[in-house]
This record gives sequence, C-alpha cells and structure tokens, in this order.
Amino acid sequence: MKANFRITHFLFCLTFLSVFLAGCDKNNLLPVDDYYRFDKLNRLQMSKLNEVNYFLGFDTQAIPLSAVAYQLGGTQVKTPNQTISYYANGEKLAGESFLPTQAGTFNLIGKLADAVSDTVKVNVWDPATLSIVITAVDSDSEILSNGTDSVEFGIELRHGDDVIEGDFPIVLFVNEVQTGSIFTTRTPGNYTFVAKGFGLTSNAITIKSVTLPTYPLVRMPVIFHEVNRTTLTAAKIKELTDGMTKAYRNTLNNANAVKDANSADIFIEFYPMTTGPDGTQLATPGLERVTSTNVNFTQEETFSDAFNHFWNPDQVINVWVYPNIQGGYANSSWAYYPYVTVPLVGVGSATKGEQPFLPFGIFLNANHLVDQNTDEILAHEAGHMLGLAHVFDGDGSEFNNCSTEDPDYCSDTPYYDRNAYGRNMPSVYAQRFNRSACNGGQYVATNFMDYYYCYSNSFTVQQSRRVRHSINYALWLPTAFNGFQSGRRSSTLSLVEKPANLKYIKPVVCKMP
Amino acid sequence: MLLLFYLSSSAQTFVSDSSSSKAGKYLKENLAFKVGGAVSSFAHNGGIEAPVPGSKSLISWHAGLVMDMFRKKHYQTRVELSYITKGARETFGNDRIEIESVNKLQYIQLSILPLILKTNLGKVSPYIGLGGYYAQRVGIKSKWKPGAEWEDDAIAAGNLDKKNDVGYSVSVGVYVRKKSFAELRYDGGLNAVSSTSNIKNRTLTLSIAL
Ligand SMILES: [Zn+2]
Repeated sequence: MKANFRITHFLFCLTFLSVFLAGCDKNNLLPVDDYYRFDKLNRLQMSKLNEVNYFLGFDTQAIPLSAVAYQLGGTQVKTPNQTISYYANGEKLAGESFLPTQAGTFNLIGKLADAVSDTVKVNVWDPATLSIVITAVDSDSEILSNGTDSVEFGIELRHGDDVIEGDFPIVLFVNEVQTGSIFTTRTPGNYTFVAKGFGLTSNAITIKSVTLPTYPLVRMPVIFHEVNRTTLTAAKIKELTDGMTKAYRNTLNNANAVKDANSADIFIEFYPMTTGPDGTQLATPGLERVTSTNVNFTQEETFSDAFNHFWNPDQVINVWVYPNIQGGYANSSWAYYPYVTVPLVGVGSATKGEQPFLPFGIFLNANHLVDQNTDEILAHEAGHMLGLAHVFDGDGSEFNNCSTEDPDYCSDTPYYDRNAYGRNMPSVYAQRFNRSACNGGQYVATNFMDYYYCYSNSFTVQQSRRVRHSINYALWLPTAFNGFQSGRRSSTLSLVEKPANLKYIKPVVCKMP
Repeated sequence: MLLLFYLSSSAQTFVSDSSSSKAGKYLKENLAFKVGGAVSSFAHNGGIEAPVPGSKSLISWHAGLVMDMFRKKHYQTRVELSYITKGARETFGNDRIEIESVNKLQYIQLSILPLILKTNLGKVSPYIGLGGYYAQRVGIKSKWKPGAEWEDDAIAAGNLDKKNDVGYSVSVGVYVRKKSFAELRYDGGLNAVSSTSNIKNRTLTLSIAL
C-alpha cells in the first residue's frame, strides 16, 4: 500500500509538472528574421516599379512593393512578401506598400534576415513646383497647308530646369482642341498650342500654316564653255537645261522616289543661250567650244582661266566645263555663292554695279558628264549660285560634325553629321539613302543640296525663299534686278574682263562619288 | 525542478542488488524495451528552456533498448540505444504574418546515464540520473506554411545541416521490481543542429520500460 501510494504520488507530480509547463504554452512568436530558412539569403532584389515619378494629389494609391529573395548560388528562395520589411529613406513602412504623402526623393529598400535589397528610387512631386514646357521641333513657326508638312512638339515636365523623364498624362491642345504631338493641316491659319496636365498649363506656341508660295516665272539662259573637248551637243545641252528647269519647277525625280513633304516649285526655268557676244546665232545653242593651252587644270588655274571665256553674267549663266581636273578636286564640280545687295544670312554682300571679282558661275567637271545624273549636279551647283548651302555642315573639302546652328539656314531641311554618315555607310544600298538627323530623327535624303546617296528630287519652301531672295537682290544673274529681260535678245552682251588684281577665292566644292 | 527537489528530499536509504552469474539470466534481468512520447523544441540562444507539451511543440514518439549495468545498491549505469524524433514546431512572424514551421529530425541515439536510486521503498525505487548522449541523424522532414497550405521545406531542411547531436540528459524515474520503470527525461543538445544558426535540440521524454 505504501509503495502504491508512492507511485501515485510520483505520477501525480509528473502530471503536475506537465500541467505547470503547459501553462507556459503561450504563442511564442519568433522574429521572422531569425527563421533558419533564410540563413543563406545573400540577395534581395526589389521588383521594379512601373513608375519612378509620383504626384501629390494625383497618385493617391499606395505603391505596392515586392522583392525576390535569392540565396548563395542564385537559387530563388520563396517567401511571402509580408516577411520582408520595407523602408523608405531608412524609415520602416507599415506594410508592403509606399504611400506618397510628401514631396521628395525616397530610397525604398527591403530587408529580410541578413539580406538588404537594392534601392528603388522614387520621386514624389508637388505639382505646384513643376512646369510644363513645349517646344516645336525643327520648325520656323511655319508649315505648309498641304496635309503632309508637319511640326512636331516636344513636351517636357520640368522641376526648375531639370526635365522629369517619363510618360505623363499631359495632353497637347491646338486652339483648345486636343491633338497629337505631330501636327499637319490643310487649312491655312494660326494655330496655338499648349499642353496641360497636373493642373498646369504650358507655354503657348503659335504656328502659322501657309499655302505654298508662288512667284513670277523667271527664265534664265545658260552658256556652256566646253574647254578642250567636243562632247557636248545641242541635244545634250537641251537635256541638261530641261533637267535644271524640272528641278526648279519641282518635277525632276530621276529615281521616282518620295519627295520631301516641303518640296516646292521655285518658278525658275533654264534654257540654252541662243546668241553669242557678237550678236550672231550660236551654231549650237548654249555651247561655246574653247581651247586652252593647258591640258590639265588645278582648281586655282580654272579660277583665272575662266576669265578668258566669261560672258556677262547679267545676261547669261556661265557653266565652264573643264577636263582633267588635278589634285583634290579631280572628282568635284563647284560654284560660287551669290553676292546680294540686301543681306541674306550665309552669303556675302556687295553694292549694285560692282564688277565681278570672281568667275561667278558653275564649274562642271567634264567627268560629271559621264555616268552621272548631270542635271542633278547642275541643279545643285545652280542652287549654290542662288544662295543655297549644303544641308549638312561642310563641303567637298571638309565635313563637320553636328553644328549647333542650322548649316543651311533652312529649318525645313533636316541636317546630319556627314562624317558619321561616311564612317557608318550601310552595306545595303537602299539604306544609304537614310539619314540620322542631328535633332535625333531619321529621314530619307531627297534634297538637291545634299550629297550622295540622295534621291535628289526636292527643294524646300525655305530654300525657295532664299533662291527668290537671290533672284530679287543678287548681282551677276540674268534677272530683272540686273536689267535682264527674259526672251528679249540683248544687244549689250559683253565679255567680262579679268580684273588686274584678281585674287583667288575658294568656291563651294561639291564632290561626287 | 519541483520534481527533482521532491526526489532528492525523499532519497533516504538504498538496498543492494545481486546480479546473476549467467549471461542469459543477466540479460533477462537487465535488458528492457523502452517506449514513450517526446516533446521537442529548438533553443535559439543556447538556453536550457524545456520543450513545453502542447499545440506549439513538436510531439512524437521514441523507442529503444535499455541495459542496466554495474548495479549497486544505490548506483547503477543505464545504457540505451533508441530511435527518437526531435525537432521543433515553431511560428515565425512579425506584425503582418505568422509562418508555422515544422522540422522533424530523426536520430538513432546512444545514451549513458549513471543513476542514483532510493531502494528502501519496497517494490518501487525512485531514481535520478545525469548523463549524456550521442545521436546520429538518420532522417529529416521539414515543412512550412507560408500561406493556407503546408509545403515541404527543402531549404530549411538544407540549413539544418548538422548530422549529429551531442548533449546531456537529466532524468527522474521510478523502478518497479528492478527492471520496469517509468521516467521523465530532459535531453539538452550541446552543439547546434545548423552550421548557420545557433539552434539546439531540447527534448522532454516520458517513457516506460518493460
Ligand atoms: Zn555643293
């Protein structure tokens, strides 16, 4: 009995102990960072957010945060998002999200066990501190009302001078109506653009849409001085002047390629000169065959030699055709810019009545009569004579990189880095006609004032304005400004005498392939 | 502690025990089969806190053979070889989530316990013992409950990478007719079960031997 009592006593004590200990069976929650499952975490990768920028008063929803955990060796370690503690600028967040409630830059990170994530940066902006700025890309505040000429708007959200990158709900309006960033129209008039968003309104830009300009028709005779060669014929000369006419009437398109949206008729026509300085009919219209004691010519030699056969430029356009050009110009034709009595940016000024101090005209390399679109070359060189520069920065002797100033003063002709183009010449032939504009866009080369490879088929509206300025104010052209009357036979056609103190002047050089 | 105090205060006199000279008779008298329940947990900071029976502890069973040797009136040495499941049922979390985790570590365990007996109570002899054990792990099963469902947890199992366990044992019990006994024992691991976390086995067993 005594023994049984002792056993009972012992078992009672065991039971008592168990119940006593069970009393401690509370919910003993261990910190999740101590969970040995996460012992080998070595990387926590924050998930990218859709947006970097948030706006007070507009982004009122909490931004969900998440991260992916990896352990040594790169294995992903599954873990519920709630196990990760998130921090904004070092301050612990209540859950797995970040609610933008004050402006600033916030560095968001996650932590789990010993792993600290990479940082995701978000900006929270107070719209009251921001501004919207619109810019018109490559436009001189004027477009053609032809439905194809366009102006493109850049829209920037700024904080001070800093541009905030991203896609934002900012809408462009034209005359109070919502529009896209590229604008075309067939209706002439003034169009005022503003952008609106975040309760802000941008600066306003007004674009004028105009119909294509028209001008009185100008017809100019051309004389080819063919030096030491007899290849030109009446038919060939007619073909060349017809080609020049087509170029300036906006109809030359040897490659049948798409023309520039701004292509314009300049209303100038060319025809072979019919009479010579002595007043007699030329045996071959537009042609004077001349000989020179030289067989080969440097470019400098032609400068002086041309004065031996320089017909009065107030009456005719002189085209000297030289063979055997030596040196760096062996594959080049060239011409001179005009001199104007009313200033035109990019060309020289002179006084009315001044005599030519240079052989003002076109120097056609005889090589360019063969295997070339000679009409395009002559249209290009005539463009120089009429005040047009190359669309890129440079000429046959020097190419420059992207300049800050538009090299041809025509904002409707995009320009590009001719050096880079030459370095990265595509092997696919058709791609050689593509250009990367200095303003970042891509386009197809169509302008007569570009170089190979180019579908030379377009002069633009702004180029037409420069040319017509030269028609109105340039010396040494067969224009009304210089007393020339188209179609009327002149009784005063004379030769230009070589100035006694002739000084060499470098032309604008145009190298062909 | 209460129980230990009780046992030590009630230990008064001891009776001697005589062993048989024949091996068969020796085994018959000294070899017993032991079975019982176990409550296990992990100590996270090397403390000696005992596992607590209840829903938040890992409850399992154990079984093995017990040999009593070097029997003296008040002293003897017990050698045991048993299969035992240790481990823990734990809840990790923060103010946003609670994750349950269950890790069952199965061992073959060799224990040696010198005992002090109180033998003047007739058929029953209470005892206390203090010894050590070496356990070799033979299996592990890990699972966790990151959401609504339990999932196998190979990552936790991989992090509990120490295959052996060495520790001390504290035991109280009572012999009935010299061979059968009932016992409550605490096993405390001395080395961590993981090379990356300082967590150690703590096991409370309640056994009977026949
Ligand atoms: Zn040129």
